[in-house]
Amino acid sequence: MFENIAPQKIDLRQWSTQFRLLEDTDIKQFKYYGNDEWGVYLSPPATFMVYGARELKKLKFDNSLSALRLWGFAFNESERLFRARQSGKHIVAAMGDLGTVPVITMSFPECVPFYPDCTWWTPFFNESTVLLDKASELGTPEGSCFVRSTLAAFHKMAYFPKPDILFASTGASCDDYSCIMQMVEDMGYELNWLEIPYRRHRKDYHVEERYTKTAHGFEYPERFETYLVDEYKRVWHKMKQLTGTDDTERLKQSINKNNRLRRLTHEIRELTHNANIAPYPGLEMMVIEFGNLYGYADIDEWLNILSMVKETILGRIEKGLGVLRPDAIPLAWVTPTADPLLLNIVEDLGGRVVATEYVINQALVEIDEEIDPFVALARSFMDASMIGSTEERIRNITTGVDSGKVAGVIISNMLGCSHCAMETRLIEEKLKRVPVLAIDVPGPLGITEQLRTRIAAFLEMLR
Amino acid sequence: MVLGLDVGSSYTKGVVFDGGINSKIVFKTSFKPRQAIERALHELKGYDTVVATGFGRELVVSAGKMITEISAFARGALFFESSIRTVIDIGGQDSKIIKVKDGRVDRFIMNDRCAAGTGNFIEKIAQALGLTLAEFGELAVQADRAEIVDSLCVVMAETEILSLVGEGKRIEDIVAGVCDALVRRIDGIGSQIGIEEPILFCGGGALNPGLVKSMRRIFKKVIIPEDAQFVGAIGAALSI
Repeated sequence: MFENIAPQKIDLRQWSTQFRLLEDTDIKQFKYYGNDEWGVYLSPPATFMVYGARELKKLKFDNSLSALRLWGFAFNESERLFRARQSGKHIVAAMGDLGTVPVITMSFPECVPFYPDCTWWTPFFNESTVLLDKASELGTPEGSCFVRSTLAAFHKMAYFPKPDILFASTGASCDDYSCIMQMVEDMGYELNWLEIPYRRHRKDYHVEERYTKTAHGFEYPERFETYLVDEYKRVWHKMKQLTGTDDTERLKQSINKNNRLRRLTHEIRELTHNANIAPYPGLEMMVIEFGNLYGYADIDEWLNILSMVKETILGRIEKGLGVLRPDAIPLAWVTPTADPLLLNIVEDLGGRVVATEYVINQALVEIDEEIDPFVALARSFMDASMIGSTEERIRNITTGVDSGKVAGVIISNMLGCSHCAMETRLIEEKLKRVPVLAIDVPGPLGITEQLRTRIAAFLEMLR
Repeated sequence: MVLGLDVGSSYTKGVVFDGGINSKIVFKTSFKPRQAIERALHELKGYDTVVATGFGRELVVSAGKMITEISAFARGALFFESSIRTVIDIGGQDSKIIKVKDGRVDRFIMNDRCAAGTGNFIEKIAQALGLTLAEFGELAVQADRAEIVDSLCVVMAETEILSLVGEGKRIEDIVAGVCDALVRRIDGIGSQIGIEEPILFCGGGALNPGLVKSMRRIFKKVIIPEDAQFVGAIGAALSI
């Protein structure tokens, strides 16, 4: 469907018109949790304005069926979680861990993992600032990161059902989020903390011990791996208590399924970033990268969607078609932007994202299926950007710069975000070989003409 | 001939350009950019095409081309002096620091989020002291020893200045201190990209003799072009 329509980015009104071309049978074939009765999720993006996501009116979306499926599924997550609760599934909150706890929890029958921290996007889709206002009332004022929305969401309990079990990482994790989770604990929620060790380099220690390397080549002491294995086994034990099951074969199956997801995401990224003309927009690509963490609470359907996305991309590449102009300026994007509109703006002004460092790169690394599954999980997580030094993070970015495929770097600097405050300037300093634009991402409804001018001037400079 | 039109937030500037300035116009935008654009298009004559820049550039529907202020100021500045390494524009509502290299923009930074470091800072302080902008500039150059004004926030600076007035300090020294504070702020912002000399100082701020004196006190090689307020408009015209 829609194969004969030229690829482009379209707004809500255009999507609503195009949606009429679909037959009922087309719409009903896509379902979450495989449920025919209430699992149908395909709808024009304008539908989600009814649920309060009124800022969607500012955005433009890819006009393929795969993108329609992707957006319908991503925006349907809240409904999906409440349906999961109604149908007797266990709801598992995996916070701040970025990619490993969901792999473990998916090993247990009828368990649905999700990331409450992802609520930080909600105020940028909703016209209302109710989440941020409530977060301020609860003690996290404007000076804090947008992840404070999560605190308000836990208070309101309208954005996701009350989880059956909550895991939250601490240690080498995001400070702002960690602070929020402590406040959630103070509200009376029972949190299961798991500690993430900071990935120290050999030179940081003056003791003799065994070191090893991650898939991305980052060095770390082996005992950190042992430590993480123990932490993951604690998660396993808690899940065993919750579900009454204990089958490590299922963990291997979960790793296999998550590896399929990681491979597919990696392939889509490679195809999109290396195509002559951008076959898929940057905003949809960001949604795809984040889906890699937990399959948006239904990994099977997410895998189906990504297969369709890959087909769309391959088809467009084969025909030499794309959604952006052929001479769009190739950029690397560092740190995910809380406001999705920024990605649209950069593309509208002539930019194209061909490399990303969204602090979730570890979720792109395949988990070793030949070794003990807990060791494999720990080893894959040691690649996480968040738990290493800024220099190591910069290494991820400079790969794209050195290959010559990146003309400039945009860093979204989140106001109130503790690691952004420290890292943005450091990254700018270290990336002297390539032009860098650091954008202070304003609060919801805060994108100004001045900000557009700064982005436009940066792109003019690169052109 | 090309009309370069710089629709700024405070002033609208237009030049009809054919390798040199044929005619020019400048007047307050007064929060009515559409009317300002109409006026410039109507009053300036003899042009074949329009290139727009400035915050109101997208409102110039008849423009054959649009460019950002950053590109426009860099081109305009290089037209006046090809040896410059940095362009500093102090406008009414924002300021820009642009490093140029090999005839192109190398890096830039803008201060557009508060009055500190913009012409608005001077305007508000002049208002508080009951001075016109012209009087403010003339007094500043008569200073013997500029007072130190630490506050960069316009609200705080007003309080600090009131204290200096209360202490009986000379008004000439106080306003020179205000000019120094603004230039120090520019220097601070510019340190993020590294200001290199020679500097071309332009925009409405370059018409203020007090600010020019402060710029020359803090930096060694500062060039003030003859048509300092028209650098953006000229750069727009040159980009055709």
